[in-house]
Parts: sequence; C-alpha cells; structure tokens
Amino acid sequence: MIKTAFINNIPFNFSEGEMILSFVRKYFEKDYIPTLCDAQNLEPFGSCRVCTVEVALQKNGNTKTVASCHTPVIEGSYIYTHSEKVNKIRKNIVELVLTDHPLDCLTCEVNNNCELQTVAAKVGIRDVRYPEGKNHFDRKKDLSHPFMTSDLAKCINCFRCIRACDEVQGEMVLSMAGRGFDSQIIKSNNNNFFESDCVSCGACAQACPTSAISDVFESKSVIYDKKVRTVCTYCGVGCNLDVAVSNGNVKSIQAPYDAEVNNGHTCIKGRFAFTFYNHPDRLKTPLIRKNGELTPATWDEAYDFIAEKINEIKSKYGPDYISGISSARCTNEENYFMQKLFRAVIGTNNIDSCARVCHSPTATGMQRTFGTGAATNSIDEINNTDLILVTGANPTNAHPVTGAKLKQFAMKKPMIVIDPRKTELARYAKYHLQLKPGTNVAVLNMMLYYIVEEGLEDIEFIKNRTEGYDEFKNHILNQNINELEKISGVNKELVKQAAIAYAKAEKAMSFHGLGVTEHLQGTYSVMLLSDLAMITGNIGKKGVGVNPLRGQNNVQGAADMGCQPHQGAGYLDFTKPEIHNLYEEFYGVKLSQKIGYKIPEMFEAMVEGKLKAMILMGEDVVQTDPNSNFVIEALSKLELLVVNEIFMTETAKMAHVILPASSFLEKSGTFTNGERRIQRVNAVVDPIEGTKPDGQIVIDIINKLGYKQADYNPETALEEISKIVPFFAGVKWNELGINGKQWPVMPDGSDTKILHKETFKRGKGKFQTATWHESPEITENKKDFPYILTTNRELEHYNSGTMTRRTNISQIVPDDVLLINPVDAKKHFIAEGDMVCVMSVRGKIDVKAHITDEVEPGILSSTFHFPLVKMNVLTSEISDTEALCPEYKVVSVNIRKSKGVYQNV
Amino acid sequence: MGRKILLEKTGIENINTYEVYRREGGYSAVEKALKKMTPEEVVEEVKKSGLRGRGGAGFPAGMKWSFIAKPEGVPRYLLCNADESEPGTFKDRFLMEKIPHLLIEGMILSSYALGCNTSYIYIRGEYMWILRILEKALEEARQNGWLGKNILKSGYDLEIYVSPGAGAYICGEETALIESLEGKRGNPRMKPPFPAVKGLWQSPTVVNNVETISSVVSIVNNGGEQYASIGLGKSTGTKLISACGNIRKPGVYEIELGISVEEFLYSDEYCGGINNGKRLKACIPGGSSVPILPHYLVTKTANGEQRLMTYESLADGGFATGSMLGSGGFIVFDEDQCIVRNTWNFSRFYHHESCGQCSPCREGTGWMDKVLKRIEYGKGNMHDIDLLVSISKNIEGNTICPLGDAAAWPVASAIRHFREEFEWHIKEPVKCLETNYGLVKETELEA
Amino acid sequence: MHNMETREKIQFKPETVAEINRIISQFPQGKQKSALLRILHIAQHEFGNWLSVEVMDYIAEFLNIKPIEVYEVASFYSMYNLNPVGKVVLEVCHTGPCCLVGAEKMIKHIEQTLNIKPGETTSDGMFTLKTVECLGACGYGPMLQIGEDYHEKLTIEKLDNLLNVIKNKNN
Repeated sequence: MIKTAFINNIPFNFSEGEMILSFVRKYFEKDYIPTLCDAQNLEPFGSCRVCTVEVALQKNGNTKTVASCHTPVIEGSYIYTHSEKVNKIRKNIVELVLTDHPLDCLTCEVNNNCELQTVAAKVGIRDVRYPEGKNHFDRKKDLSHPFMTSDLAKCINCFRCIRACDEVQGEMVLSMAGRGFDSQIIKSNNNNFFESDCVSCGACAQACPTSAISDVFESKSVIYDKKVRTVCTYCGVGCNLDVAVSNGNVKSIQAPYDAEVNNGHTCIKGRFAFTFYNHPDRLKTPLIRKNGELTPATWDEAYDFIAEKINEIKSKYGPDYISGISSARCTNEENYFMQKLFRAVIGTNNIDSCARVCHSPTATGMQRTFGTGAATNSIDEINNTDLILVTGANPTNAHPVTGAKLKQFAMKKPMIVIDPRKTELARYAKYHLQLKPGTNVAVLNMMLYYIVEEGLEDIEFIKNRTEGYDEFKNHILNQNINELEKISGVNKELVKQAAIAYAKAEKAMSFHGLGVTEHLQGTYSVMLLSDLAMITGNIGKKGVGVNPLRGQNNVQGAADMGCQPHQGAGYLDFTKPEIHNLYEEFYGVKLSQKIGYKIPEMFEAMVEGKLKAMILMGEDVVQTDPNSNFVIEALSKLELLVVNEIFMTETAKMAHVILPASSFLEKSGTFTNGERRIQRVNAVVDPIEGTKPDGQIVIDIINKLGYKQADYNPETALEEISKIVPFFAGVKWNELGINGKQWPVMPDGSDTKILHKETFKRGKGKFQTATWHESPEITENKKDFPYILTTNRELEHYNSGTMTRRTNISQIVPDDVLLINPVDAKKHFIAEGDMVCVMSVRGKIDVKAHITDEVEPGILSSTFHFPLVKMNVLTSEISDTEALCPEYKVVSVNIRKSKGVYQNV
Repeated sequence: MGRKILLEKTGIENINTYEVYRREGGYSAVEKALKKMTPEEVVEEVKKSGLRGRGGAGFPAGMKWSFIAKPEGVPRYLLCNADESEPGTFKDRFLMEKIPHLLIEGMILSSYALGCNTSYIYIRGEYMWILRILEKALEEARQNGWLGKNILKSGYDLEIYVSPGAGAYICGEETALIESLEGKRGNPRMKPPFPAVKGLWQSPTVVNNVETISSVVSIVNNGGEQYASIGLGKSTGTKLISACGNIRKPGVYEIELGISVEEFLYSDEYCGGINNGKRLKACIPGGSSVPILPHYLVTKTANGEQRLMTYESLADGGFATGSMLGSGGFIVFDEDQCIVRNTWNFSRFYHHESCGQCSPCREGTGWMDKVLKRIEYGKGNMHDIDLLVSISKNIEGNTICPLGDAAAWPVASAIRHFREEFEWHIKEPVKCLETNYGLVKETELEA
Repeated sequence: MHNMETREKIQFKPETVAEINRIISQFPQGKQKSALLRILHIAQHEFGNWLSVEVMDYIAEFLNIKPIEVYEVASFYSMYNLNPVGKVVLEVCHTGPCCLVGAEKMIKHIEQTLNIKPGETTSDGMFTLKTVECLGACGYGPMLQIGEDYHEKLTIEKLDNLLNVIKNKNN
C-alpha cells in the first residue's frame, strides 16, 4: 500500500517506517535539510537537532518540532522543512555550536570543505551573539600517529567519529568521556592515537564534519585536479577508492559511500598505504644479468634477450621446459594475456598463479560438490543471515572491511568460529571451536555427525537437490566421535551445540579462509563445508552459502582467466577434444593438451632439470612459498628467470631479467573480488617513468615471439575475454558501472548475486566424504619438533610486505613476531620481545616473541611480512593431496631462547 | 485529616521490618493477586484506579502497562525508578526508608501484572544506605517465600534486584535509566522505539516511579474504584508532596489530590505557613523543572479561582500563569529570596546534569548558567534577558529527552513573572550586590 | 593482540570478589556489564576513594569488557573520583532548596575552617570539599554527605562538631 505525506504542502509517497529526513532526501537534494550529526553510513543519532522540522497531523493543524532524522513519517502528515520557526531554531542551534568552535576558518585544514561551515552559511549565520565564554579552544592537537590526526578544539560533539568507530569498524577505540559541556572524545584511555588501540581504518576522519579528526593526507580537504575511482590492490574484498590526484601525484584516498562493496569504509592499507607507488625503491629500468650483475638495459635489449633465450630453450628442450606464474595482484586482462602467452605463443600449459598456494583446494573442493569453486553468495548478505560460520579465517586482519562487518554481526547474532587461534572474531563468537591445527576434517565431521544424529537434516533439500547422501550418511555415522574429540582437542559438547545452532538457524552463511585450504586435507575440508551447507539446505538463496574469503585483490580473476595448468580461460577442460578445438580455433594456433605443472611441481621439476625457464609476473616466491631454501635451490637451476616487479624482491634478486612494472594506480583493467564482482580499475596516474603495465610487458613479449597482439587496452581485452570465457559473456568495459558486475554475466548484461539457485552448476549437489589423516609433517617430525607453528596475517601488512613496508605502516608494525602462549614462554624462559630461535627440520630462524593467549600452549603462530625473518625457511613442501596447495598452517618446530638478532640460516 | 494510603502505617514502630509489616497486613495484596487474580485483572484494576505516574509526567499507569509488547520467548522487565533527583523532591526516599516492604509488595504485584520474572530497582547512587535497606528487605521477602520460584505455589517466578546509579540526574529519565542499568553512560535513547517495545537489553520494559508502584498495593487490596474515589477528576488517589524551602514544617506529606494549595501551604497539618513570619514571594509546586509561580498565582489561578493540588489545577493557565504538579516537589520562597540567584542556581544544576548529547542542551544550559551568573553578579546587560529567552526557546522541545524542557522552563517562567527583578539586577548592580545576603561580594567574579 | 604482560597487582579482596560475583549473578548471562556502576562504587571504596586507570583496567578485565567502556562510564557519573581525594570527602549540597535555607553559609564556613575551596583537599590529606548537586534532602537542608551518611539540618555548631569528631577519630 502506498502511503502519502506532505512536504511543504506537496504530497509525496513514503514507505512504512521511513524517517522524515530520508523521506525528504528522496525527493529533494541531499542537503535540503541541513544536518550535523547525520552521516551517510551511520544510523540516525538525533543529537545535533539541526535537522529539526515542523510536523502537523493535518493541514493547518498544530505543529510540533521534531528531529527529522529519527522521527518516522506519519501518513497524511504535513512536514514543514523551512518554516520561519524551523529556520530560527536551526540558526540558533548552529550559533550555539559555534560558541565553542574556534572561528579560525581561514587557517583551518578543512576550510571550504567543512560541513559545519557549510551548514552555518546555509542557516544564515552572520555573527554570533554570545561573548567569548568558557570553551575548549586550548585542547592540544594530536600528531602522534603516522596517519591519524586530531584537533579536538574543533570538535562539535556530533559523535560521528565514535559511531563510525563502533558501527562501521566495530573497534570501539573512540568514546565520549565526561558529561555535558565537559564531555570530550577519548581514544582508549585518553591516549593519543598512536598509543591507543586504533586500527587506522580512517573511518572516524572521514566521518568527522570538521577537522577535529583528520588524517595526515588531509583527505577531506586536499586540493586536487581530479578524483579517480578505482579498486584497492590489497585483499580480495575489493574496496572502491576515490583517489585524489594533483599535478600527476596521488594526494589522498577516501572511500566512496556509493560503493556497494565498502559503503564508505576501507582499511589502513586501502586508505593510507599508497605511498609505496612513488617510493625511491621503485624499479625504473629493465635489468639484465651480465657477468653475475644485474645491469641496466633498454626494453628492447631485455625483450630480445628473453625472446632469444625462450626460443633457444624451446628448440633445445621443448615448450614444456618453460613455465610461468601469473599474478593475482594484476588485472584480469593481464592474467588473460599471461596465460595466452604460455598457451598460444610458447605452447605449454605450464602456467599457474598464486591461487595455487591459497584457495586452489576451494576451487577443487567446491567444483566436486557444487560444480564451481567461487563464492556462492555476496558479502552484503551478512545483513540477511541468522548465523555465520567462520572457519580458518581471520578477516578482521586479512579482510578488514568484511571483517568489520562480520564483527558487527558477531556482536549481535550467533557466530561459530573454527580456528586454532583466539582471533578477534573468536573473542566475539558465541562458539569458538579452538582446534589443533590440521584437524579441520575431524571437527567438521563431528559437526556433520551431530546434525545427522539429531535429525536436523533438510530432507527436502537433500532429496531434491543433491546426490550421494545415503553413502555419505553411512560414512558420517561411522565416525568415532570420541576419537575425533581427542584428535581435534575440541570438547564434543561444544561441537554439538555449534552444529545444532548451525542446523537450526533459519539461514546460515559459511565463510572460510586459508586456515581451511592450506593443509594436507584442504580440499577435503572444503568439501565438508559444502556438505554442511547442503545437508542443512543452506545454499541457493539469500543469506546462506559457502564463501571463500579470497586473499588477493584478483586471485579470483587469475584463476577465472585460466592461469592454472589444468583448465583454460573460463575453467574449460582443454583435455576434452571439443574444448581443445574451441581454444585452437579461438587463438588460431595449435595448442598443447598436456596438463601443465602446478607451482609446487614446478620447483620440483626445476630441481630435476625438467624446467629451464620461468617468467614470474609479480610473484615473490622466495619469500612467500614454503620451504624457501628449496625454492632458492630450484630457481638457481634455471637458465632463464624473468621477473616483472615493481620492487627488488628476494626473488627478483635471482632473476636473469627484471622488467619494471607499473602499480595498480598506474594502469586500467578489471579486478574480480571474492564475491565474483568484476570491477573497473582505472588508472589514477601515468606509469612511473621507465615502467610499463604488466599487460603491456606481456603483450610486448608475445609480439616479440611472433604472435600478433594489439597493445594493452582493457576495453578490447575484455571484448576478447567475453568471447571465450562463458561467464564473462555480457561483460563490457563501458557497462561495468561504478560497482561492477558479479559473474556469471549473461549476454544481456545481467549479473548474478547468488549461485546454484535452482540447480547446482554440476546439476545435483554431490555429498563427499572425508576421513581425517594426520599430516606426515607431524607424524615424521613431532618427536624432535613438538610445537606446531601456524602462519597468519597482520592487519597492517600485506603478504610479503613489499608494498606496505614501503609506507609509514612500518612505524606501526615494524617486525614479524612469534605468538607464543605464556605457559610455553615460561617453560623456555622467554620474555616479551625476546628473540626466539624457531627450528624445523628444514632450517631455523630468529624472531621476536610476543606472549599472548591468542594461541594455546603447544601452538605458535607468525607472519611472513618481513624478508629479514624468512619465516618460510621453516614451512614444508607438503601440500594438499588434491590441489597441491602447500601446508603453510602446520609446521613442526621446536623453540629456544636465542641471543641472536636475525642471524638466520 | 486526609486519608492516607502510602504513609498510613509509617508511624508504626519497626514497620520497616518484615515481621511488623506482615503483621500489619502486608503482602495480603500479593496473596490476593496471585491466588485470585489474573495479571490482566491486576492491570484492569490499575486502569480503573486512574493512577497516574508519580515521577513527574503524570501519564496514566494502567495505560502505560497496556502498551508493553509481548513477543513470544522474550523476557519483559519492570524497572522501578528510584533515581529521585529532581531538586525539591525527597518523597521516594522517605517511602523506601520508612516502609521498604510496601515498594517490594508493589513491585511483586506490578511484575505479576506485566509478566516480568526479573525486576530491578534502579536507585540513585547517593542513596546507597537505602539500597542496603532494600536489599535487606528483599532478602526477608525471599526468605518468606514472596520472591523466588513458584511464589505461593502460583507457578509465578520473580526475582527483584537493586542496582545503584552514581550521580547523574539524567538517569531519572527512563531511557537514560535503562542505559545506566546496562552499565553505560546515561545518554537518553531516541524514541521510537519506546521502552515498552525495546527497553532493557532490547526487551519490552516498563519504568515506573517508586510511589506509583507502591500505590498499586492499595489498588489491589481495595480495588481500583475505591482508589479512584479519592481525589478529584482525573487526579485520583493520594500524592506524596515533598515540601521544602522557607516554610515552618518542611517534610513529606501525603495529600488527597484536590485539597487547596492554600490549605497545603498554610495549615498546620502540612507546611504550616511561611517561616519566621515572612511573606510568600513565590512557589515552585512540582520540582525544580516546572514553572515558578509568583505569590499571586500560588493559591489562586489567574481567573481568581481557588488553586488546588491537582494535575489540572496547578497547570491552569498554561505556561503563562500556571505550573505543574510534576514530581510533587513543593519549593517555597519567602520575600527575602532572590529569584535571579535561584534561577541561576537551577540553571547551574541543569548545566551540570546535561548529558551532552544534544547540542542545544549541551551548549544552551551552559550559556544560561553563564548569562544568569553574569546578571546575578551585576555584570549583565539588558540584551541578556532576551538572550536567555532565546536560548530557552531553543532548548525547549529540541532535545532527545525532557531535560532540555526541564532546563528551559524555570528560566522562561522566572523571566515571565519576575522580569523587573532581572532588570533591577542589571540596572542597580551595586545595590544588588549589597543586598544579596552578604554572600556575593567576596565570591569570585570571572564572568 | 592481547598483551599478557603483568600489570601492577591490583586485586579485590576475596570477600569483595564474592560480593561482586553475587552482584553479577543478578543479571542475565552476558549482561555482566550491568554490574559496572556498582562495582565502580565498591572499587572506589576499596582502593582509596578514587578510581585510577589501573583500577579501571582491572575492572574491565574482571567484567570482560573493553577498558574504554569503563572510562567512558566512570567519567560520566559525578560520584566517581578520577583523581585522588582526601580521606574524608565533604559533599555539600548547593542546589536551590538547600540554598534557600543557608547552604552557602555552610560552604563558606567549611572553606574558612579548613582553609580550602571546593574541589581542594587539606594539606594533611584529611578533607576534600566538594559541592554537589541535589542529594534529595531538600526538606532537611542544609546538608552534606560523607561516605554513605547524610548529615542533615546543619547549623554552624553542628558542622563544627562534626568536623571535630572526624578529626579526633582520625588522629
């Protein structure tokens, strides 16, 4: 039923429960009613009272003044937005606010970009009638933090920063202390930003209407020539960024409110970690190794060197002696050309990407159960679900914007966290199943057992949509629960409660991360997560599903584009003759049908002399792949190692040729985020002089090797991709809009929020069984290496830290640390900050100790953001049995207190 | 002598103990309700009684109860507002101190009527000794089977706890009280949602004043109609009045609503007239928040009618010539009192107590305090009076909670009725300083 | 990351812990924060009449809430002292009704007797004078509160007596 109310005597339609302010905004400009405490991504707060309007229940009836932001519209009421009374109230209120606000606009950071200034002008304030009284002008500025600043003399107590901290980020670092006129913003215990628990997401600065809280880049007020909207280069959330550019330089970044992915929010990395792009360390000229030294060269010299070498190796050994690793940090188009270079130009399927070392088990597992490996649902459905299961993921650190949403959820509704660490989410979760690393299969089997035992299956769904259930049920009921309890170390009662909660929830959504995949049984765990969703009917509708939290900005895209050795662009199986023919026809050349090497197999092949050349697009395998010493040994056997990079990484140092590439700020294309959303990346600045976008570099090599390919251009590239990748059929550069489209995109351009709605990609969903096995890493090494080391991420840094370490983030987090339980620390006489020697069967390293109950006794955890620490010297070459994803999460180690300072072997 | 309902037994020795209270017929209302009445019937009696909220707003209690949402599987809460903080009001304290079991009995009845199984008494932190009296009485009630599981084998379970505030007038506002009881700052919540739908821990909640809840005992015992037969018109029953200021007999009195203000002020049964043979200058009849009445509007309305102690009569004349019954804090000023000084004093109070959330109140109360102080200390100018009126209009009706109104009304009404006295302060600063009880001269004058 | 470094030992007495647990049990599970105000009163009493940051942090840990949730609350309510005060805090009501019956004279008298202004503490650390808003004793003014006790219908003589008794008791 349509309801009507009158705005200034003109009738308009409104929906039940709508507030007056949003009702008026629907039909008039956004600032038609001035406001101070209202902000686009925050709940109404009602404290500034500037949005006051007059309301009468009938025409010419008695009016009442109400705050429009939190007063619901009443049917048939008459709303007066600019009556004399209202105008006077607004003016007087703003005048009162100004009595405790310094009138130094001309020298203020946000002069001309200040909401208070705008509102004051709008309500017609010319002067302030009050004499100078008691005020807060003497509050000191806080310049302690590398990114955040505050000048609370400018604060107007609108609470927007506090609400942003609470409602958007969920951090609760900011609050109001004191009362009334004496109330003021505090950061933790009135510390400065640097000493507070602030996670530097910048939401408060963006929310603040004045300069009371801001950032060092002055993002609210910076003078710019243009603002360019692009997509963040860090994690797979895919935040949209508004980048301000002046004189060809990036000045600051804000998060657009109209971004569906991040709704005006982003994290420390997205907002502040951009200064790496013009860091003096940037590689600016091609380098060729001559007499053991990397020597500057021209592009042509470099390309000639590469072409010559490749042709030589190809003719001497064959194309399968050449391999490539593409980059999940690069665009879809660049990845597409990289695989094309290998398949169509060099003639081998030896192309893989770092999806291998993170979510390949997800792809494999979900392909086996559902038919496709991508996230089944969309992130914003967090708002439409009743329970969330988070397995092996630490999104508040690794996927901060999604993490913040999950944290908000966990504060209000039930969450199950399966994780060996007491992560931030685990602290908020109703159920934390703190399992021993490497026992996901055991715990998930327990959950499935209890669901079956309690008779909580969705019989209807199982009957209509799935197959293989009887066999599966049989297998599940034969599990020895007591033994699994012992294996996993999780109380079976707790598992039972969690299982019941998951099964009984009207809608339950599952998220998982690398804590599921980077294991011996990664693929099996993913299949069990799929089983959980299927057995409870949590698939194919809003607010449910199995959703991998993809690590890198475009790791989804790299695999979509065919950067994997067993499937071509669009996941098509080229071993099938009809597919093979399709590709041959499309590329116009003969193609190999032999499945190529996966990344771990590549290193083995190198050592065995079966691989002689490698082209790496932006991958630092020495630092990030497991068992670094083995990787180094493998790479050193190569006759040709080409690395496209923006900085001199540990891997680049070993290259024969280095090609200086451009960063995300310097190129255009598309990234596909973890919810299959293809979004436009728009070049913000020109490539740094001497560099080229990876796409152009790859195309240059393609041409040099004799295949005709036009210069890199995302529009034409997408046109080519849309013709071969089925789920890109309707993707057009000019139609992606500001928020992109979620694949599959139909030829008519319509996109897909939820997968497997009517049927599964593979027809019926297939139940898969799994039996827990101990990793050989443990069985073989536990006697001498009794601790289990697992690896994790810190919010502030990104992966190998190549970029983030070259920003002021390093002032906040300068080191990798080893998390160690107080009990273990005591046992080894280790104090906070002591250096600890960590040894595995493969090597040893020194790292600083951080004593915390985040890990249980017997468990250690650390990051590998810093090359100095070389954490991956320790990790093993054991991989997931199905997808060959390395087991980063279970390493048998021993520890002792060390005197050494990073004297790593 | 008027009839007494609440204070009927306060004269009995040791009535604060369970034994004596029970011996004198205490808890018979609980027996009656739990054994013979359904919760709905209790609500019905309270509706019939016409009992109005005694905290200040005067909203019909039965109607308030009937608004409580009853979603399945969600607990409901009754909160007793014992945060008595309105200057001039000290009646709840008297009741709880003298006869704590009356409140507890009322709490049991009200909780039963509302379907609450846990109820809380939120008491101001300064009344910590009364909290101890209540906890002792609650323990006695529990020992004797009036609280706990399956009370009187009726199947009804109830626990009552007392929780203190810590010095914040604002927590007497029901949503601020709820926030405070949740262990938070006492910042009032926006409405809607109303507490009856989403209150304590987002559950349906009713907040009632101590006196309101205590009155339920008599209503259940004797029936709502009997209660309604006392009083006048819509002002049914009796009301506790806290009388203070320059009167001969300050204290807490129970009156039948409807007696004349003159009788209350001058008879020996109540205030006993103005102290020291002085003349009446003004009176604030319902706690510091309600408009002040000049002497000629205290016992008579503007129409020359007898002014009565009822919600309606005290409000007769609206804000122009009337006031409000409010919480029943009856503050009397003799001829020597300075209205400017007193108005400033109350403004300072509201400035101190503003939570700081809404800008008109946070900034406005401060400015009223500042400007009034300036006038009081002989530093004002004529524009200041208009500025005060402007600020008070700005605050009134423009805040989330009624503290804004409470801060605005005293200033607006004092200027309305005593403008000349304000002007005199401005025109005759020296004289004004000399006459102000010898207190002003040495006091700091930074304004 | 949660730091496990040991802080200076602040601990409630065992009987206080029992009392606090009793109070927490009055609220539904997960709503233990509701006990915060009362616990702050207890802490203030137990740890020298005021709430230091360390004490507030301890309470936060005790209740499993964030320290800032304690600071924001403690600074809101006027009964909590966030700075050290004297052994005996004289809280004199100076709101309207008490002033009508002479509260200002009482305050002045205390100021002169103890040689301190409101907000100050005597040099021997014995007395702090605090002016407070209405304590609900309007009919019995002037009045002041010491700890939990109300002292009502004050006169200069009663006040002198009271101060002497306190001094003697604490000497």
